Amino acid sequence: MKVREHSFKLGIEYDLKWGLFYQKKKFILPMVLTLFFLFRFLKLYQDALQYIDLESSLTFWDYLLWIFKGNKPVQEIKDHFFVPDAFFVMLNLLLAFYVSFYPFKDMSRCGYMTLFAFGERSEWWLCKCIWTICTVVSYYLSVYIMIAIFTFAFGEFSLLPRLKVQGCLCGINVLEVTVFDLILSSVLLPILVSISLSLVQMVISLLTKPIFGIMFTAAVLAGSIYCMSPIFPGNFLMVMRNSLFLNGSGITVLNGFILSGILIVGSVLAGDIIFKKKDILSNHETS
Amino acid sequence: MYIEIKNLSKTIKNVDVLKNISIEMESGKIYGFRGKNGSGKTMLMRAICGLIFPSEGEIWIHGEKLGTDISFPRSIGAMIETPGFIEHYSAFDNLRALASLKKQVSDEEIIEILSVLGLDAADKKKVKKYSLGMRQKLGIAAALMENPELIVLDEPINALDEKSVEIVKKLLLEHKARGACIIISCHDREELEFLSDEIFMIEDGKIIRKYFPEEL
Repeated sequence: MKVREHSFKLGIEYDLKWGLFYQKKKFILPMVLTLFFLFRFLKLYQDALQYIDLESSLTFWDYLLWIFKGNKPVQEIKDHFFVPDAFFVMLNLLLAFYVSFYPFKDMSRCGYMTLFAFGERSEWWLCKCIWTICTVVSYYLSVYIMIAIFTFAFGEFSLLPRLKVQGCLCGINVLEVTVFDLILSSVLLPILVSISLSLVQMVISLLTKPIFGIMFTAAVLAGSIYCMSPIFPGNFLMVMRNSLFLNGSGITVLNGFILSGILIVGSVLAGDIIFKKKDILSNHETS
Repeated sequence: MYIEIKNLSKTIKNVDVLKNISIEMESGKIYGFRGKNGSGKTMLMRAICGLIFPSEGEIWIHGEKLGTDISFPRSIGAMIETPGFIEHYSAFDNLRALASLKKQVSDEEIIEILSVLGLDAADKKKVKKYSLGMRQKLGIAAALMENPELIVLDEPINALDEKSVEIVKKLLLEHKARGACIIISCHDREELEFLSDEIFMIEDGKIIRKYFPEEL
């Protein structure tokens, strides 16, 4: 990849400033979404307290694990209709929208001068990859911040989740889980997996159009919901399918890190190769 | 700035949009592309800008091969077709965002170029509310503000009023005088012949004639 240090640094600065910082208002929506589901969990907990002997308060990790719980494997749902976890679907689809259009505005008529200013195609692509990574991290941070604020108002900051709450309300076992496990599986892994999905989405968008990139991500998420397999990265976004909380069965964290690493490196390289050969035409010229 | 296009051909979806084009261009001159819609003028401009790759042939800019040594010309300002911008920003913010990439232009210089073209830098009106003529002027401002060595403008006086046309013509002649290599296309034959040192007539992706207006 041909990259010139000075212009590369300015390119990153440009994308982070105009594509992220000046668009920070869009992170309000995931915070609102998180808040809605946190209140739902709080109500569920308060209702359950009347009938079940649970711990007297919820912790940051309780809220976080609930938010990212996802779905149990379909095969385990026998006695009632399978309903995909709403937060999982909405949070990840919203992220797919957020990362879809900004990079490709430079390839429309308004962006040619931006493209020229980047200098080299590789620089443009790398800067967009970095922008994507920063957008995903910021997106997750906005969710974590909302959880933290909610915990401050309605919970406790504790190092670990509540055993009974997680067992009864989330259906997961946190008896032998450490803080390190929690950070690895519930914070780092989802961020990494989302980054990898977003970068693959960018490559698909580069080859076709952003809308097809979003459709690809939606298909992967749908496949992940209905099929518990490491091939579908969405499984690593669901706490309820993580082997750390399922007594050894389920999707392993290590597989998640390996798959994400492969997808990230592969996407960056593939995108560079594709973009270096791509003709940039307007819509009417491609039809 | 010296541009050499050697036997350039381009095929897109089995259609030959450019056929065996060879041109040489140099600094301090204005080159005009003439031809009806769909003749290949814009496609040739895209090729010179590095936006598309030749199916055959080569484009050399100042001794560097486009697509191999460099992705895009090193110093270029271009407006291809009707310009678009970040719709929810003002004109000034759009140019400021663009200028931040190379940091070669100050806010004062941006204000000046907008003012010369009849746009108010202090106007917070978003670009999405701009008329076609205003967008055209903003596109020209974006292309010229960094005083590039190569200027490529696709129908720059399209949708402009008489006064703005005169301003744009004056600007182009000033940039030519400072040594820029300027490529423009225009449907108005008179204006094109007034501005250009050499004109290429393009039809069906080929150069069918080239002439020097001053000889007419």
